[in-house]
This record gives sequence, C-alpha cells and structure tokens, in this order.
Amino acid sequence: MKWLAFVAMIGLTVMAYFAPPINTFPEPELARMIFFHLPCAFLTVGFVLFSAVCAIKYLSTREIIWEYRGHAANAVSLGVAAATLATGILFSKVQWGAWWHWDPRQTSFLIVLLLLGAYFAVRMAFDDETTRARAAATYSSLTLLPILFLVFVFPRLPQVVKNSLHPSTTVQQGGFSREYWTVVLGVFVVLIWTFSWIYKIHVRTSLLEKELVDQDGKLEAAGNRTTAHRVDRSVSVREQS
Amino acid sequence: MNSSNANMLRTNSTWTHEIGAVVRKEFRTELRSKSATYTSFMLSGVTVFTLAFAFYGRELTSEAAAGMLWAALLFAGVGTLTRAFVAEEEQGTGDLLRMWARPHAVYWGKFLFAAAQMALTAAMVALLFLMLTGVGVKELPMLAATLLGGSIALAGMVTLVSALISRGNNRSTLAGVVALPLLVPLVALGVSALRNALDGFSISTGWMGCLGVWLYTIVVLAGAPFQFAAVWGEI
Repeated sequence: MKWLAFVAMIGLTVMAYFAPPINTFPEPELARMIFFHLPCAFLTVGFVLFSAVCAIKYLSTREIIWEYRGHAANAVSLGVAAATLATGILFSKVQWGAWWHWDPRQTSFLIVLLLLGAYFAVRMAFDDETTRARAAATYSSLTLLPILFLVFVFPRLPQVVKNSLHPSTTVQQGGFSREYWTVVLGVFVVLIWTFSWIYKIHVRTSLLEKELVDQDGKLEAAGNRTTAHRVDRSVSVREQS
Repeated sequence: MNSSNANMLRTNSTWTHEIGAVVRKEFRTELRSKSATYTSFMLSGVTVFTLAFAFYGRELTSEAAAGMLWAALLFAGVGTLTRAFVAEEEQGTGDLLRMWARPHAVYWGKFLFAAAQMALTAAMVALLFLMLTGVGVKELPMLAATLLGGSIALAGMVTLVSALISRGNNRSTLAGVVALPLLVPLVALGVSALRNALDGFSISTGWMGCLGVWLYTIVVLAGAPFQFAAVWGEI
C-alpha cells in the first residue's frame, strides 16, 4: 500500500507538469505550488476539527484513547499547517513579490498555527497524565470557535475579501481546468492516506508508551527493578518541625 | 475527598447561594488587598500612556486608535484575570472551593467578579485613552456596547484559561500563550466595531462588529462552564 502511494505521488508529479498553466496569475508556471498547498490547507482543517471531536469525546467519556487520538491529530495538523504556510509564503513571494503580505488568509492561518502551538504548550505544562489530558482536551475544544471563525468566517467578510490578494475566487469560480483539479484531488487523496498513516503510528506509539509506564509501575509495586527514576525532594527544617 | 463526600457537603446549598458566596468571597478578598484592581489599572494605564506617547504629535487614525485601545484592554485582561485560579492553587484554597461549591457555581462566581473588574477597567482605560490621544467619538452607544461586550467576553475566556493553567508549569508565560490566540476573533470583531464608533464611517458595519462581539460572548459563556467543570475536577 505504501508503494502504491509512492507510485501515485510520482504519477501526480508528472501529471502536474502537463496541466495547462493558469494565466490569471502573474507567474502561471509557478502557480503549480497550489497542487500541494491547497490539499495541505484542507487537511489541516480536517485534522483540527477531528482533534476537537476527539477532545469532546475524551471529556465526555474520559477514555484516554481519545486524548491520544486528539494529540496525534493535532501533531499531524501542526506539521501540515506548517507545510501550508511555507508553500503559501513561497507562493506570496513568486506571485505578489513579498514573502509576507499580511493577507487575511495568510494571517488567519498563522493564528491557527499559533493555536496549535499553544495546544502543545498546554500539554507540556503538566506532568500528571490525567491533568494533562484534561487540560489539553479542554484547550482543544476551546480552539474550535476561533478556528471556525478564522477559517470559515473571517476570510469571507466583505471588508476582508476586498483587501485580500488570496486567489480564492479563482478556485471557487471555476478558474481551474479539469487537469488542474485532477492533480489537486489526486494529491489530496495521497496526502490523506500518508497523514492518516502517520496519525495511526502516533496513536500506536502513545499506547505503547502508556503500556511501558504501566508495566514499570507494576514492577515497582512488586518490588522488582524498575527503569523509573526516583524523585528526591529536599525538605526544609521548618517543614519537618 | 471523593465526589460523593463533596456532594454531601453541598446538599444544603443551592446554586444561587454558592455563586453568591464565591462572588462575596472575591469582593471581600479584593477589598482587603485591592491588588487585582490596582494592578489592572496600573498595567492598562501604563499601556495607554506608552501608546499615546508613541503617537504624540502625529494624527492618530481611527483604525490605529481602535487597535491600540484593544491592545490595552488585552494587556489588562490577560495580565490580571489569569491570576483568578492561579492564586487559589498557590494559596492552597482551591481544594476548599472544590469542596464547598459545584464547578459551575465556582466558574460563574469567579466570572461575575472578573466581568465587573474588567468592565470598570475598560471604562477607565477608554476615558484615559480618549483624553490622552484626543480622538473623538461619533457613536457613543456603539463604543459603550462594544466595550461592555468585550469586557464580559474577556472575563469569560480568561477566567477559563486561568483554571486551565492553574496547576501547570510556567503559568505566567503560559497564560499569554494560551489566551491571546483564543481572543483573536474577539479583537478582530471589536476593532471593527470600535473603529466605526470612533469615526462613524460605517454605522451598519460597526453595529455588525458589535453584534459579533456579543455573539462571541454568548458562545463563550454557553460552553465555558462545562469546559471549566472538565478542567476543575474533584479533589
């Protein structure tokens, strides 16, 4: 299956060079960056929404597997969001002449990336697994409202659309040829498969880590050797008295 | 203490009693120390003064003025309201709150105090800002409604963030990292409303922004008590 995805990606890359350029862009040949940029943007939103669903499921069931799923989905979406932003920056440079334009879509995506970054900051701030899971899931569910606003509402506000350079209208009003759409959708399918695979590996790793910690705890309880490092806490004289 | 014991302690109290008790506790603590209000005024005052000074001698556009006013409010809100639950955990009184009040009551009690404090701060900041910069107001009701809605939303969101980070490491840094991206939609809508309230350029767009601020407030307050209950937990 991995080989099939690899071959499909090579095929799509070759097809990308045969797709006719879109002449509405200042640099039509370089607009092919969209083949990777657009599917990555869709995937980011998909994984972020899935992680919010996982967070809500965790908060309602308290089953740790949902926390692992949410964490994996956020980790994948952080990577995909970084790829989206990087390709967006390159697109901005070649098409509009500057690396960063404060375009509403660019800016809103940067804030989505900050929200994802903050999720990991929350996770890292807690040592205890249950507290960490609760805090991370709560934060993930909290980010749902800003992300929905930033992705679906803010870029469509009339005063924002007026000032945007982003080629949303090209995409929405049939500016892409059939060949263009074939490659975009093909890359989208291959990326869904690839990142779902990475997501599954992430979840499996979290489960194995948990099993290792549980085994370690059982060994310690039985009085056998353990890999865990004991924590020595200094105690003041005042505290003892 | 497990949840059933904690519930037994609460059998004689009602929701309103618990919320009232938390609000009274907050006001009494504040009257005793005056720390939160004083810090909030000082922080926002210094921010407004610095921003106004940076624009001294230059004409300030309504766009820049609206953004600056929101920046001052954000500093005041995130800088002071995040202490709400952090202080409880540091003083060891968090467990007492868990024992004597339902999570929802704790949230509403803390929120009501934070909203009152934030509304007062917003009014003071706006007055100081308009005085120092000399920017005029064309639509006073729009300005007042936006500031009130924004203060309530800020209080609702930052109170929740405070509970979220209260047991974490690097709390003071984490507060800003966590709260600010969540408040971006509020700031975007609030700046749109304030800009039009100051210059009166497009009244309908301004009221749409103001409506957006209040809708954000409603959505935050509808979900926050449940999210708070999940993160607050039992002893």
